[in-house]
Amino acid sequence: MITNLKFTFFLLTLFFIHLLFYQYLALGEVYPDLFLVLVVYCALRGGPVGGSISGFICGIIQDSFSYTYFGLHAVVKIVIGFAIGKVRHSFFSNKYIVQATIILTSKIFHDIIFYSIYFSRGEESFWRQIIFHTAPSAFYTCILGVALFIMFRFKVAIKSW
Amino acid sequence: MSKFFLFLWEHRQSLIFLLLLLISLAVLSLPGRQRFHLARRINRAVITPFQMVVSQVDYFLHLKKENEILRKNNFILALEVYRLEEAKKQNQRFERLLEFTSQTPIHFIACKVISGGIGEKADIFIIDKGTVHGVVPNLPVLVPEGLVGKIIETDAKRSVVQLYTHQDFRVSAKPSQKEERAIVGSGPGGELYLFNIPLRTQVKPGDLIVSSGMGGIFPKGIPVGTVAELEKEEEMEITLRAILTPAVDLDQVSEVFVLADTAFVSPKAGLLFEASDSLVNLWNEH
Repeated sequence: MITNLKFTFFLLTLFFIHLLFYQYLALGEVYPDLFLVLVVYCALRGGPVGGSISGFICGIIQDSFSYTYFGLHAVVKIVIGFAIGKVRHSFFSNKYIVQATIILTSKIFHDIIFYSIYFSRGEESFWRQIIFHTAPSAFYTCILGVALFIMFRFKVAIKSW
Repeated sequence: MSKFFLFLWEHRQSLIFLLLLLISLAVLSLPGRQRFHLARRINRAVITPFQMVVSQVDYFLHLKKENEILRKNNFILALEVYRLEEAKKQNQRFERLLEFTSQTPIHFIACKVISGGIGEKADIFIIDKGTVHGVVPNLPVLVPEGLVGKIIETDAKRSVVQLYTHQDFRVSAKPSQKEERAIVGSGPGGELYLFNIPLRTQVKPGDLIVSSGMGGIFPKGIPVGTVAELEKEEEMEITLRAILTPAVDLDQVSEVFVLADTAFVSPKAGLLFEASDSLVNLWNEH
């Protein structure tokens, strides 16, 4: 029961930090994606359903700032959430390094899918974006995400929804 | 019937995933206007109320520091006012002598950016002024460094700014020292381009590109960007396009000015802009 409350509080913290302090979290031009961290932890704990639903909600909220591609964040985050939820049993561990690796990999896959659709109209700056934007952002996201997780100090018990 | 529900229950994970994916894809393929309204509704309902609170807290936290700076500036400006008062009187005397008519003063509305996106490639700003403050759609939005975008939607106390990174954004522009008009627009990745430049152009890297005053929205002389390089347009090789380094770094923008003088957005704007040299001077001085 306490773990559930802690986990919910952790998710809400991620949600509101990203929603309200996104501009303040920037390190130069590198921004973290705490919504993705939220989706990853939801998927690890709640499985494909938790991952998909959290991915949809977070994605749509992020998309409300981008009218050109409204729905794109949602599509990518649903896919990432579902995929992590599906394969979580094969790699999940409460070790922070494992969680950091999962977040890092998710962010890289997230951005590869996102920008390959975003730049699908024949734009050449895809790889520049991945190297100069995604790579630092992925490291920053995983460090910040795991640091926040450590602050709450609880174990992510796997549940099946 | 129970078999059907059993099937649904067994495949609930995949079904929920597919349903949400379909909804997202449907949203992604909505026509522009509907997509805009849906995004705006979600933004207004979920994000703006929270960000308004943070914006106010941030405002009060910086109030003391800002107050000190403003007091210093006030003193400097007071001295400047005395000097300008004298210059104005002198100017009026000269105007009377030369029978010039004075120009309408430019009217700016200072606005705070409430929110500027929480994900990759945001292309709008929400600002804290709306129709009650005189903000209406299609007014230009600027900062001292240059062009930010234009107003596309207004509430009573908030407005949406379409940034220059938005794919529908276009502005008629020209090099500051030449009369070679072209169109500035955003590429698929949010990069800024000067399109439709003839092959035998005088535009070269390093040129400052400013709004040309044509098109009815943006006055003449607002810096848009600097030419970084020239390249052939992909499909039409009879024209070039220039990649621009934007004059304004949108990540650094927290306050903007809406140019509220309606004279600048008249349908006959082209002619009016030509007359509004005071604005050009304002930027040149800056």
